[in-house]
Amino acid sequence: MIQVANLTKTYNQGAAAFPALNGVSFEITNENMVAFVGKSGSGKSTLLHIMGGLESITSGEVVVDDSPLKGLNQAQLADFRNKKIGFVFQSFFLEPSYSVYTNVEMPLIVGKADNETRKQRVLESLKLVGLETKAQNKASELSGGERQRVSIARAIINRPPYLFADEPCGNLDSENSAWVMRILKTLSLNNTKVLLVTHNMDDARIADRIITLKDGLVIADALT
Amino acid sequence: MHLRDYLSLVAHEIKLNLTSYLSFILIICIFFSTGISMILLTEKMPEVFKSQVPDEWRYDQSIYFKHASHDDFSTLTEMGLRDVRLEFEKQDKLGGAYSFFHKKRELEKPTQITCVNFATKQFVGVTLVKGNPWASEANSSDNSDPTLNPVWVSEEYRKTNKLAVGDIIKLQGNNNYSFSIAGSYKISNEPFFTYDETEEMPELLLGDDPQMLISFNAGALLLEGAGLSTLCDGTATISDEFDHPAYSAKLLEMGILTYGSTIEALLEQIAFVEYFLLALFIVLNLIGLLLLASFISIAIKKRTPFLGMLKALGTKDYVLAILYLIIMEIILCLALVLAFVFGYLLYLLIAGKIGQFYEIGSLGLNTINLRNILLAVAVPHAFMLLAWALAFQKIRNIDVLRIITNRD
Ligand SMILES: Nc1ncnc2c1ncn2[C@@H]1O[C@H](COP(=O)(O)OP(=O)(O)OP(=O)(O)O)[C@@H](O)[C@H]1O
Ligand SMILES: [Mg+2]
Repeated sequence: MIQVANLTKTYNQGAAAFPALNGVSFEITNENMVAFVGKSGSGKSTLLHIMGGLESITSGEVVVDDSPLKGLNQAQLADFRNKKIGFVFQSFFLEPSYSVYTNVEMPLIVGKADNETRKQRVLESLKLVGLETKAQNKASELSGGERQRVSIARAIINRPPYLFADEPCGNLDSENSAWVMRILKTLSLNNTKVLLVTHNMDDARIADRIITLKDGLVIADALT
Repeated sequence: MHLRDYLSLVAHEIKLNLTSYLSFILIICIFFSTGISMILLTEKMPEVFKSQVPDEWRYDQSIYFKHASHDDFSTLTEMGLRDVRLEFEKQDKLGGAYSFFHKKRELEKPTQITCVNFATKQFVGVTLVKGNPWASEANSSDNSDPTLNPVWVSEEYRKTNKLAVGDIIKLQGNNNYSFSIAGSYKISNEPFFTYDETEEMPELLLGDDPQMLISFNAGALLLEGAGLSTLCDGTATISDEFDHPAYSAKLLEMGILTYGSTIEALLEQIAFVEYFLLALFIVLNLIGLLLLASFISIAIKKRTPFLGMLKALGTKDYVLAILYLIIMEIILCLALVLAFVFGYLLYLLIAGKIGQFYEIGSLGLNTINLRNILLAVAVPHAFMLLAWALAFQKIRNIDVLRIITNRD
């Protein structure tokens, strides 16, 4: 469960202060896939980063599975990210010099998983995104769509309860986008809550709920 | 992360930029090896200076320092003069401090040491007597020769149980010989006295000519054996004492060398050269540190996207910092191993040149001892930890969001 209450975020404190979020509140309990939509600059990414423990809170509350993020220090936030959240971004952030396999394995390496678990989970994840045959290729040898699928495989390798995807299809053509959306939907039906930021209303409609932001405020919140 | 994960990540990082890592190792190796050669040289410098002291000096010889003290012993011992002992150290009446060192292969009981009065030819010899000879009156059997069986009876001593300068002691059973106490010293807590035969001119010795007393005190040079009165051909006068060229020349001629200023200069040179070489070593290591710090900071900068990704995935800063600590340690170890080899070769080269300069041939091999290894390893490591602290800060400052949002 994710609870967001009166969340504000102001960049650049002082004279040049810019309020990116102006008091956002919502609660995600039963929906498996939630889409955040809104114009560019409305604060979608900021919201996602805060919920993912990547960005600090100016005021308000964010509680993920009963633990409030506000009091956590950098090391605790790192732990939180490693255990609770899988991230997928518009850019893929794969390490080009590593193989697909190692890229996907990375969160398990960081999380000290044992050898057996690593092997089994990497293959499982790659199978889920349909890339088991490319495991030994270098990340630099893949197409954009494949790279995004690898980054999804990496994001779910720790079996995080939440997957945060910030415009995962932003750099992809429609065919690859469809692939990625299908994978996200599958995941959301299999015990991973997916929070998706998107510009594309067709993609948003795949979700169970659509939250619309404007100027750092929630202006619409509806189940599909 | 498990150790093998650290190692495989490190291996990957190094492999990615193998040439730059290797060339960097070679570059800092140059500084470290030069530093190591300096360290090795510090140990050899006393030997170089020692070589400047003639061999005759080595054993069973007395040396004289104008201003040396106990503190100089360690240095003298380092110079290979292993059995140097301080015989006595005193202030003469002319105001100069004189120290007398006596060096013997094995120092047996210094029962009797003849001091030479070289200032005037009237005096045949001054004998330094150890212990309390006048107390063992009863044991004496042959009283004819005080140097063989030094048992004397002193009127004064009998009365006061004390002896002082100017006291007359008489040889028991031989009233023709009497001696005046010319000086008293404590050596290793035992009383020593210099005395004079007063057979011919007792009055003179008792203070009529104070200059002569001075000459006993200041002019006593410890020498083995007797018969050195030939020194006292009247060439030296009291006022110019040891520094008199004729006196020095005489001593040199006899193989008893005086190293007044030379030894002092050598001691100074040794200290200076040692500190200079050590400072050079530190500076070279410091340059190594600066290079290491900038190399690592470039490496971190180059890998910022990767490190940022690891951070986003939940890797803690210290884990990444350990990664770079291992990298730095590997760089340092390889550089040091190479530096030991090159440093030793460089040392041999420099030592050869120094040997040529001082005309003493090669300085020979140096044992790489614990002190050298500790210095050569510990100092760069201390500096490495500094560089690592900077690297840690760099890693801490990597802004994950900046990377994720491509905000650059
Ligand atoms: N680090 C920052 N410093 C200052 N302003 C920032 C920073 N990050 C974001 N902003 C501002 O906050 C506002 C919200 O940004 P955010 O990235 O959340 O928008 P978004 O809804 O994700 O837009 P887009 O759809 O273009 O990605 C924007 O006006 C942006 O300029
Ligand atoms: Mg955005």
